[in-house]
Parts: sequence; C-alpha cells; structure tokens
Amino acid sequence: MFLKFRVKLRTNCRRTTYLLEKGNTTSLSLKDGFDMYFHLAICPFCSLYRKQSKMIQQAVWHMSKLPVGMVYRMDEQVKHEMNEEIQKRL
Amino acid sequence: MYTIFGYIQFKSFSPGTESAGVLLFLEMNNKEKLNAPMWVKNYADFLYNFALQRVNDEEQAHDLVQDTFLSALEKMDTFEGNSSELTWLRSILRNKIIDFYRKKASSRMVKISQDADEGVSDFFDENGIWKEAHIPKPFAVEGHDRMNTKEFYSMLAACMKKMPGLWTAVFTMKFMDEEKTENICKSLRITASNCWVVIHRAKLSLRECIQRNWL
Repeated sequence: MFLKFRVKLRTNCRRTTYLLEKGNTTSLSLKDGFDMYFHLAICPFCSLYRKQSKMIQQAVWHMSKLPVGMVYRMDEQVKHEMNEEIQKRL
Repeated sequence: MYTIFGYIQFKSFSPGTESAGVLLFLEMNNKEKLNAPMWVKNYADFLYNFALQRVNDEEQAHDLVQDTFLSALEKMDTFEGNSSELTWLRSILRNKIIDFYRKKASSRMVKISQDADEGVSDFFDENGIWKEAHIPKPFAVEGHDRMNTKEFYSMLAACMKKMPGLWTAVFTMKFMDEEKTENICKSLRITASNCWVVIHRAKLSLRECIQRNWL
C-alpha cells in the first residue's frame, strides 16, 4: 500500500516520459533518475515508449542522411526562375 | 584570372618547377573558388531538401533557398575558403531558418510552454497515467528491413509535417543535426526547460502518428 502511494505521488507516466527526454540531454538528478528507472521497471507501457522513442530518433537521423531527391525534389520551373535571378545579379 | 595565370606558369615551366604553379593556385582569391552560375544546378535540390525538412512548408522552403542564394551572392567576398561551397551555403541557409523561427516566435508563439503543456494533457489523465486511447502499443510492423523502406520514410515525413512549426524546428535540429539542446534553445531564444517540454510533446505526437499509420 505504501509503495503504491509512493509511486502515485512521485512518478507517473507523464513525468517519466518527460524525464526520458530530459535525460537525453542532461544528466538527471539522483532523485529523478531513481523515479524514472523505478517507474520504467513497473510500467510496461512506458518501457515500450522508451524503446519506440529510441527507434524514432534513429529513423529521423537516418532520414536526414538519405540521398537527396528521395524524399523531396524541387520544382524545375522554380529552379529555372532562381537561376535567371542569379545570372542577372552576377 | 589568377587561375589562368597559374595554369600558364604551370605549363610553361619545366617539370622541376611544378610547385610554383601549385603555390600560385593556392594563392588564388577565395571568391574565385565559388562557382555561382552552377549553384542552382548543383545545390538547389540539396538545400531545398534541407529547408523543407525543417520548415514543413514548400513555399517557405522555396523562399528560404532563394534568399540563401541571393545573400550568398552578396557575401561572396567574405567566403574564406576554409569549407566547401556546399557547407558554406548550408550554414547560410541554417541561419536563415533560425531567423525565420525567431521572427515567428517573437510575433505569436510566446506562450509555448502553456500550449505544449496543454498538448501533453491530451495523452495523460489527471494522475499522469496514459489515457486508454493513447497507450503505446507495439508497432504492427517492426524489424529493420521494413523500417528502411521508402514508404516508412514518406510516412515519417508526413507525420513530421503535421507537427507545429516550432516543434519541428527543435526536433529536427536535435535529431538531424545533432545539435546540443542548449545551442538550439539559445538560437531560438527559449529556455532549456521549455525546450525539453517541446521535444517531449513532439515525440509523443510523432509516436502516436506512427502507431496510427504504420500498420
């Protein structure tokens, strides 16, 4: 009972997912770190979230390394206009 | 002009004095290393890609790329020749994007922290527990092979397109350019804790979107 109360009081899914993000960039305080890992150990949803979040990060990083033109390509007409503008100013 | 001079020198001397030609080539004006007439052909697609992934608006991305080329033309004298042409153009574009978001932030998105907090409460109930509808479920298709497909990336791009502008800025800068969070916040002029809130919110909604669409 005491444990349940403590968990409810000190951590929840919302704070844990926030702390995961925060822990990515700075080192968490001892208390925050304890709360986070404790919650992750007991909450299957948040541990799944953690896994997927890591995966999304990798995918986004990967996307930026894709060959140019695979995702977006510039309109030829716009390119042509831009080119003329540059030639004019040279 | 120096290039031609260097070339003549190089040709006219005997093989023993090759280094003279090379030296002259190195002393050439930095400005002449830039090949402005070919910029659009060589770099427009790359820069457009770069801009569009960060601003999520095609018109805006066109304008940003155009601005980049024009201000690069004006700044040609300041090119130091330490980096490649593309790196130089990209850094100009990056600053343009940051300026764009800064202008936006100062005009209307001052209450980011409140907005972001409201958004997060969509996912959690008053006790901070996942709401029934938003509980993370395993993605229907996992595994590396399926993740690397074109469909997955276009879906991811579509999901990122749905995020509000500032989130995309923070999110892409963090995970694409691998910038330090402090630098991002400083250049966009938001506090560090707001930055985490924005990233948290962006990640939640992106994950949700993928779960919904990646079946």
